[in-house]
Order: sequence, then C-alpha cells, then structure tokens
Amino acid sequence: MPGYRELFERNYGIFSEAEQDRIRRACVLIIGCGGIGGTVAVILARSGVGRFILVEFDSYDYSNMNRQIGCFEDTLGRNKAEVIGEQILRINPEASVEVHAKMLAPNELAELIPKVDVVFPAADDFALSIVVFRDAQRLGKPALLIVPSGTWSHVSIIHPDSPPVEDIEGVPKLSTYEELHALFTTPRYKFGTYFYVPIADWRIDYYRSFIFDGAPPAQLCPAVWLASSLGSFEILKVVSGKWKPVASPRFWSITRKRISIKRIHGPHLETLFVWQRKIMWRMFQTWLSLPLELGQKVWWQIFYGWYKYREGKKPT
Amino acid sequence: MSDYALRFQRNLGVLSISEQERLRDTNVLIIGDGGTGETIAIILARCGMERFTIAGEGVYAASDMNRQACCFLDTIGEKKVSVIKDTILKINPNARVSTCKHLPRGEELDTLIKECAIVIPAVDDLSYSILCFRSARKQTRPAVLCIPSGSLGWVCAFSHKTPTIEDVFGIPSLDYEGLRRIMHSREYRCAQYNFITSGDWRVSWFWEYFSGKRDLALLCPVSWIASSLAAMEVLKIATGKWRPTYAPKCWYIRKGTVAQSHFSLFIKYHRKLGWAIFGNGIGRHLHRLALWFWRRFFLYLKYSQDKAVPDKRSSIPPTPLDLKGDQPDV
Repeated sequence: MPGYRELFERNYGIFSEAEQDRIRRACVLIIGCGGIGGTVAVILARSGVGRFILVEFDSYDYSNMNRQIGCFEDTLGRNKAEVIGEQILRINPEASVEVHAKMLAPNELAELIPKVDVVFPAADDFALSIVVFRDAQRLGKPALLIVPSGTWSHVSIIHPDSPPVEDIEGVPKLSTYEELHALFTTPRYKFGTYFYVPIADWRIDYYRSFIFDGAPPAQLCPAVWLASSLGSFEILKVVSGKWKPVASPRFWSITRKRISIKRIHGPHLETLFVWQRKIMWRMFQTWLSLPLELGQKVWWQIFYGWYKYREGKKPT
Repeated sequence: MSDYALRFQRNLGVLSISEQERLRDTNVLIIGDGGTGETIAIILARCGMERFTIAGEGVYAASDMNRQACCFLDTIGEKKVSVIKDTILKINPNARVSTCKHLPRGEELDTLIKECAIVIPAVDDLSYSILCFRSARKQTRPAVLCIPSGSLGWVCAFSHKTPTIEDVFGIPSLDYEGLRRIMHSREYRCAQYNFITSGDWRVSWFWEYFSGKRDLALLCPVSWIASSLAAMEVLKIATGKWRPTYAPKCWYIRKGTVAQSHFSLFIKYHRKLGWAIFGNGIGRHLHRLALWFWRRFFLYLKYSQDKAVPDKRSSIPPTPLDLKGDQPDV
C-alpha cells in the first residue's frame, strides 16, 4: 500500500512540507455531493486533504450522468455521499470520511461547523446554503461559494469578516430559512436570473420551463468541473496559506468568453443585476406590486419573443 | 425517452437537439494518457460524446494519484487506456472507444488523425506533441493544446489558419530527434525558469528536474482547470455554436489566477534569440559562461523563496512539531 508521501509526491514540487502538512490535516465539510460538491471533494482528496464530512440525502439518477463525478452505471440508485466517500478512500486510504446520508436541518448542520476548517455548502437548495453561510460566518469559519448555471458561474471564498453571500448574489436580507425558500421559488424573484439566457447561454424554452414548471438549472460538464476545480483551488489556498484566496468582496466571474476577478458593487454588469434584484424585491412588497406584476408579464412576452426569434435565426 | 436522452437531458438546457447530435457523432482523438488527456476524455464522455480514439502506453503508478481522474488504489499497475475505456463505458455503454496501446508514429499517426474530427495531443513529451500538431495542421484538423505545470498552464485551439505551436512558444522547426535533444538540453531547461517565477515551483524540485531526476510538478486543481477549459474548447469546435479560443489567444493560468490572454511575445523571442545564440557549435561553449549566470539566478530564486514569510493567512494552525527533515510515513 503506497504511503501518503508516495501518493502525493508531485505536490511537493509546489508545496513545502509545512504547507502540505496543513493540507493533510485540514477538515472540510461538504453539504450536498452533487455536481459541484462531489467534484470538489474528489479534487481535494487528490490534492491530499485528509478529513471530510459529507452530507447528502439524494441518490444517483440518470439525469446526473452528464456532470456528476461519482455517477456511473454501477452507482445508479446509490447514495451520493456514500459513493463519494468510497472514492475518497480509494484515493487516499488514510483519509477519514464521515458520511451523513440523510437530510440534516440547518441547526444540525450548524453543530458540524465548529469541527471543520472550511465549509462548502453545495446544496441544490440555495436557501439552505445561505443559512449555512451565515452560520459559518457566525462561527468564524471560511466558506466556499460556487454558483454554476449553464456556461456561467461564480466562485468565491467567504471569510468570517467579509461581505456575505447575499451581497454577491443580490439576495434580499430575509432572516429565516422558510422565508428564503419561499423567495427562491416564486417566479417574481426567479425572473431576476434573466441574464442566464444571454450570459449563461441557456436556451429560451428551457428557461421558460425553469421559471414556470420548476425545471432544474441547466448544467454542462466542462463548466461545472471548471468552477469546481477553481473552487477547490481556492480551498487549497485558504488551507495551505501559499496564495491569497479570492475572497469576498472579490469573486471569480466565469463565462465561456472570459474569466475574471470582480468586486462587489464594481463597475460591471453584474452590479446592475444585483441591485435590480434587491430593489425590485423591495418594490414588490409595496402597493407597486400589482402594476409591477403586469409590467413583468409584458416584459416577459417581449424578452421571450426576442430570444425565440434570435434562436431561430442562428445559422447552424 | 431513449437511453441517450435520459442520460444527457440536462445538456439540452444549453445545447439544441441538433447540436447535441453533432456532438454525439464527432470523433475525437486523444493522444497521451497523462493527467489532462484522461480528464478531458471523461468530461467529453459526460457531455454525451460517443466516439473516442485514445492512444497511450502508460501504466498507473502511485504518483499519478494526485491528479489523474481514473487512478485509484485498485487500478494502480493497470494499463491506463483500458481503465479509461472502461470508465467511459460505465458513463455511456453505447460509446465506441477504440484504443491504441502505443504512441503512433509517422504514417500511423497521420491515418489516425485523418479519421478523427478533433485532435487532443496530451503527451508529457512536448516534442512528440509537436509532431501531432504538425500532422493535424497538414490534414486541416483542429487541435487543442492543454499544458499544465505547477500553478501555470496554457489552453488554446489551433487550426490550419492560426499560428503554429512552434510560433507561439518560440520553438525551432526541427524533426523529432532534434526537438527531443533540445528539450533535454540544459540550455533549454534554463529557459524554463518561468516554472518557478510563474508556476510557483519550489527551487529544490526544479533543481532535481533540471538534472533529470524529477518529473513535472503538478497539482490536481490546476490540471483540472486546464482540462475543463480544453474540453470546453472541444465542445465549441464540435457543436459549432461558439467561437473557439484560437491561437495566439489562449487561456493562461498563472499563480492562482486564470484569464484569457495572449501567448507571451517576450518568452517567444527570448527563446528564439537564445536558440540563435546558443544553438550552434560555438554557442554551446558560450553557454558554459551563461550557466554561471543561471546558477546565480536560481540561487537568488531559492533565497527569495526561503526568505518568504511563513504565511499567517492559513486557516489551519501550524504543527507543534518541527517538520524539517521529518519524512511523514514513507
């Protein structure tokens, strides 16, 4: 059986003994072992991280095949966290992996946070992730944010003293999980993601079913794996201390045309989206909601018509 | 719903049905079974590509664990191409994967490239990759470059209309033997000092690499960032939906950042000039003098690396034990 030194030999070309030792002793909590969660877990295991706590209630299904690292013919129907845990042990036999193969409530998750060095909330349910980010900040642990969608994604480290996730993604400041969950399921707020069509390359009909029929976000393997690799690199930066991580208020903004580090409220298009989401939500709470709703309907007709026309016109 | 549609339905949020079909029918040739070729193959299989040709002669070793997607404790010692083939078939049982258990040369390489639509030369041996790029160019096949090293990396696509790989890296046009001689010469390895300055290699490792005792230093996240970017370029070419990043533009990974950039003109002319001066008979003697400079230069790099303040940014407290000289369980 090869030892740690032998398995991670080539890392020592970049990391010093002390840095690799810190990586080895690091403990990472990953909530949700799907597209990004599973990939980050495996990359970290391959980089030599020694301790993992994995939380996931879901099991592999055919629709996961297009991007999830543990999804194969022979793992279909099995719990994702268990499969990822096995993969980690097949990479590094001395790793310690704690698997929670069930849904945990926000307060149960908060109990796990003090045990770890870095938290990665990667649940499909963004409301749950936001609650975990808040707990991590409260308990003084760095956390990793990855939001992938189509060919676009955001990656950033949220330190305890840095601006919260809500400022990066433009989420109104609601206090409880239930309120947040309700927010993310209403079409009113979902329309705030309209840039998925021009920037993340979503097809307009799919976007329509995402808004009205609750279809899951569109995902493409290279985009998901790119965001995950960049995210796990950020965790390695935090853990090893070799490089300065890209932490909030800065964040990685990835599209298929460019990858750049942006700043919250900086002079770029995403600031517009963030403020739009925040201000519109406030306005929807007042008497303006009725005319706004009407305006949104008209806007959607025009938006849909325009992108439908453009998609039809595109040469193949 | 058919089996294929069931597996790759989530792609249809971005790709149209005709684009997905085109992807399915595209034949990719992956030459080399190192960290990048293998990861690219898995990503492309997960995108729904069905026709692969993979060439390579490697066998999994323990030191591959830190970055290769199909290397596990139970596959150490097995032939890489067979393991990659099995993994692709576990993702999509209808995929047609043909393998070539050696690195093809001459005529054979030309025929393989002629049969495929996109070439990905992913061999550690750069001089062999250059042969693949030349052959792809001759037969007007697009080729995707993907080179990681330490925290440094380049990714871009070449077609028969773009500058060649020799142009962008400033490599002289020689045959395979000539290229190989150069890349193993001390003169050439000195010019790879950017592995330390941009790739964050440790100088002690570079010294051993310099004397041929060590391989390239590689890191999983960087290698996978480069692979995902390269897979995206393949997707762009195969679907025809977006414009690929053709040379001299490239994705450039450096010191923990990624950006779309251009190949460095400085490095190119620096290498060209160096070759013009030191490449011939008299130049080799001249290089003995230059080595004096390099030795000082690397000593300086080592000095500045050792002097760098141990970071207080890490979230993990330093070990109470002094690790110097301690070799954790070899």
